[in-house]
Amino acid sequence: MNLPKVTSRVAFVLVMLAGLTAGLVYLYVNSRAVKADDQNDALNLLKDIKQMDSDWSANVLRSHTDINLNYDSLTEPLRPFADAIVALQAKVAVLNDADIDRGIKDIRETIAGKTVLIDAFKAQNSLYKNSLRYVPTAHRDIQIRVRSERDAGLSSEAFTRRETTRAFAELEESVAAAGKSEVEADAQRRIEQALARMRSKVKSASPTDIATRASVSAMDLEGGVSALVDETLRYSAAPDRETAEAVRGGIDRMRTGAPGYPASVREPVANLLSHLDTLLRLRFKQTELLRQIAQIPVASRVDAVSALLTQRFSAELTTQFKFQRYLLAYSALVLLMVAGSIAFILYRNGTERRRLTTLVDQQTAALKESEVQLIHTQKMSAIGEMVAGVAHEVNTPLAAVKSGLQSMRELIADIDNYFDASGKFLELCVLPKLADETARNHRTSEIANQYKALRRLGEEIKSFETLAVMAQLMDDGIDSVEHIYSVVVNMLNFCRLDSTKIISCNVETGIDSTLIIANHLLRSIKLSKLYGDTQLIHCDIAQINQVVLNLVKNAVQALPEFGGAIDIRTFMYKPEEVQIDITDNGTGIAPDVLPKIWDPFFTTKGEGVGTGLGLSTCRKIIAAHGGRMNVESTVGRGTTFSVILPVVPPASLFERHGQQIGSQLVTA
Amino acid sequence: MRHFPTPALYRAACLLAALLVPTPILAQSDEPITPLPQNLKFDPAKVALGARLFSDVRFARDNSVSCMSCHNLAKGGSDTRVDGKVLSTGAAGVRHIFNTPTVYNSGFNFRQQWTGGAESLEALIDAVVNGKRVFNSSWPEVVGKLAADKDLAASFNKVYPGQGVTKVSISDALAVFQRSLITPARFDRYLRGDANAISADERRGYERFKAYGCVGCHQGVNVGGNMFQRFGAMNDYFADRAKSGALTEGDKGRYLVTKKDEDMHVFKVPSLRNVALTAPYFHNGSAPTLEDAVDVMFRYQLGRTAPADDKALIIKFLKTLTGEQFKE
Repeated sequence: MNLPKVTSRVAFVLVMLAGLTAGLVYLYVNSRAVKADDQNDALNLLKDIKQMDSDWSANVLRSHTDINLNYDSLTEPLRPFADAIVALQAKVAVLNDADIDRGIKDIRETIAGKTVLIDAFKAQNSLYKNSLRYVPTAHRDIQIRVRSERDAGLSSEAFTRRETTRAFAELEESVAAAGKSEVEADAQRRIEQALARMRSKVKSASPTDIATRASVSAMDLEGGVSALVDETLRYSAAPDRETAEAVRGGIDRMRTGAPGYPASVREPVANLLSHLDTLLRLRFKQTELLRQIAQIPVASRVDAVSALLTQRFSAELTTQFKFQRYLLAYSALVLLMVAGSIAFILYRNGTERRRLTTLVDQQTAALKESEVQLIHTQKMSAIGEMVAGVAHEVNTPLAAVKSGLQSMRELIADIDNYFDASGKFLELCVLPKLADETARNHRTSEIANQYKALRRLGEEIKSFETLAVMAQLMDDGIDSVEHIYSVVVNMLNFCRLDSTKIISCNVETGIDSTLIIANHLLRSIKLSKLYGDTQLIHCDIAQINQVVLNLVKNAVQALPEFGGAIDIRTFMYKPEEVQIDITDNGTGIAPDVLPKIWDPFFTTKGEGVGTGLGLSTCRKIIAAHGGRMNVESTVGRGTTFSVILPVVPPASLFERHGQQIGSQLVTA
Repeated sequence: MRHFPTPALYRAACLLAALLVPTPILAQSDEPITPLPQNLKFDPAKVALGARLFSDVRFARDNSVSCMSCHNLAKGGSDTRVDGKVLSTGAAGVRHIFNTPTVYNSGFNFRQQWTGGAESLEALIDAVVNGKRVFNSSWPEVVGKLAADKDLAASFNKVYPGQGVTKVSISDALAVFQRSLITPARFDRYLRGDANAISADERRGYERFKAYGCVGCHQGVNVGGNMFQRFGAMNDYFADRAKSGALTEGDKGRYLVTKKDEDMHVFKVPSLRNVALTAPYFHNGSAPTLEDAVDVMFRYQLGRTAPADDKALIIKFLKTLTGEQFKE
């Protein structure tokens, strides 16, 4: 799989998921769109308005029938109405429905209209009730006045009659006296005086006459007023057109006749008439107003909005139900897809897992191989190191043997020459006797020469102590070979190449043989062995030796050029654990590096420099023995590596033994 | 249904029955006047802020008058400056066309102003801020001036968090303050059952007040303030006024608001609480004393006469409506 392909597949999956989610969200939101709470609140507000309106109407009737003594109950709903309308508008604002908004506006205007009518009702009702209450009082007041007027009028008539009679008597007396009088002028004057008095009496009697007439008409008035008041009150109790017309006529007649009424009753009558007029007028208007108030369609307007809301609500519910079904179907579809995907993924997973298992197995095998390879390489390297040490140990005596043998080879030439010469001499000696003297002489000299030569050679060998030298060389050679043998044996001891069994052994012996291997590294180093009294432990000593060798080598590498010292200490860490401490006085390990030293490929040495076993491998080996490794280091002071090994290793060591690390060593 | 000839009659009968059955919820008081409620609660912070605004002259365009100028809270809540001039003056000395009504208990009025032109205290505040004869200002100007006052703005932010100095918060603070201005009187105690709260004369005065029909309009918790009535209901008040001088714009009453003929000379029935403190009387301030006012009411509204003794008793009763926080 290349990257663009992966990216496009991821993008495709993301787009698919986004699409599915968007669809789900769209359907979900729409299937929950109906705000039942808001709707219910709005419907409740409408119900409240309707209830308040109904109470309002009832209170109008209560005021009309005087059950309510004040109008507070008619003004109190105004604020709640306004608040409810505002709340209602807020509730339906989200619906954004022109019809509902208009409906609420209708409700508000209807209530405003009803308010105007109720205001008019209050004004009328108070006047009407005032008049109704006052009319009997006013009527009684007029009755009282009319009666006193009549009484006054009647007494005034009697007085006038009395006065006139007296004036006549005076006149008669004056005439009689005038007849008797000597002075005519005086008599004349008396008569005239009497006449004047008479005239004045008659004159004063005129109002009396009017008063008499007034008292008569006042009595008529009283009857009229009583009839009119009765009629008006009857109209008020049970209004009908005929009575209304009769009352209207009565009021008008009485108004027309008003100037003829006694002065004292004119005002009370005018008051009464205006109250009767008020009653007549308002009684009709009151009925009309109550009818209008009752007809104000607040309830129907509220019902209209309720119906709109409910209709809308049910429409929304239908839509919502539709969306819910869509959502259900969609969800089912998505679930199916998910199920399919899961099945596919499971199938793919199965295949993939099998493939992966194979792959992992292969990789594990490869990894194991590579680990084995690594260990092997390290082993080989370690063996290389060891071989280097061994070669060094072997080479020196071998060179001695070689040079001894070369020397022998040279010395053998001398001995060879001697044997040649002695052979020739002996041949000459055993030749038959020659007849010829000359020939005999010649042979004799020849034998003498040969003898001399032989003698010289013999002398030479003797003088050079060739044989002794050879014997010495041989001894030296044998010594050297012995040394080589011992090295080889030690190497065998070290590697146990001949035996990979877990054996009971002494760690100090192992350390010693290791130190021999590492002898060439330790020439200029002060090595202190501080061996304690340790128990024998069961272990693969070859592996432990390798670990010790590695630690010794590391210690050597850390040492300063001069004055390097290594302490090797063994002791019983616990009754069942042996500890080996290898301490150097080298450079130490920096604290930040310290944790890394156990990493498999960690090294402080240059590239390509043989490392032997890594510390990680050492740790593995020790861990396999059920032991552990510790390190303590101070920069500039030195480092102590500790190996702690149990006396009895875990059973697993016996099982794995000889198959892994051990086997590699054997193979190596 | 068989028992009733028509459904309408049936319904009427039912309604009548419903009205006749005493409803326990609406327990009826025997008195047409009801005592002031005792359990009203107001946010003290808003009341304090409203009180501060009430005497703030920055509402006036020329910073000359505050609410307090025409509604003297120490003296019954109406204008006490009107020596001889009868009507109040607003910003720049402009004379108003109406006699200033008291601010006390105005929260119980069903509408505000003589004409009922303001449906709420908030609407009233809007009307006076913009009113040519009152503050002659505008909301941007008022809000600007008040918001510039750091101390006041801080108070607003505290009382109206997230709102600060706005038309709404100013109106609310002032409205809450005005609703808190209530004046329980001796008569309230009498209504609550303390028979000795008023004297025998005062009680007789109350009986006359009811008997003569004053209570037909001056009823309810505010002894008025819950209805409109034509001034001159029984006798033509304005015709008589016209004889002694020209009618004023204010005489049109509610007509100024509705422009309907039937609202000509119609006014809100004023509350009679604290009436003894709020002379002069009527929308035009034409009655300098309570006696004058009572006379006018008898003549033009009740359409009847009464003995001077009864009127004196009624006036005695009216004085029991004075809030007990004012010295009588």
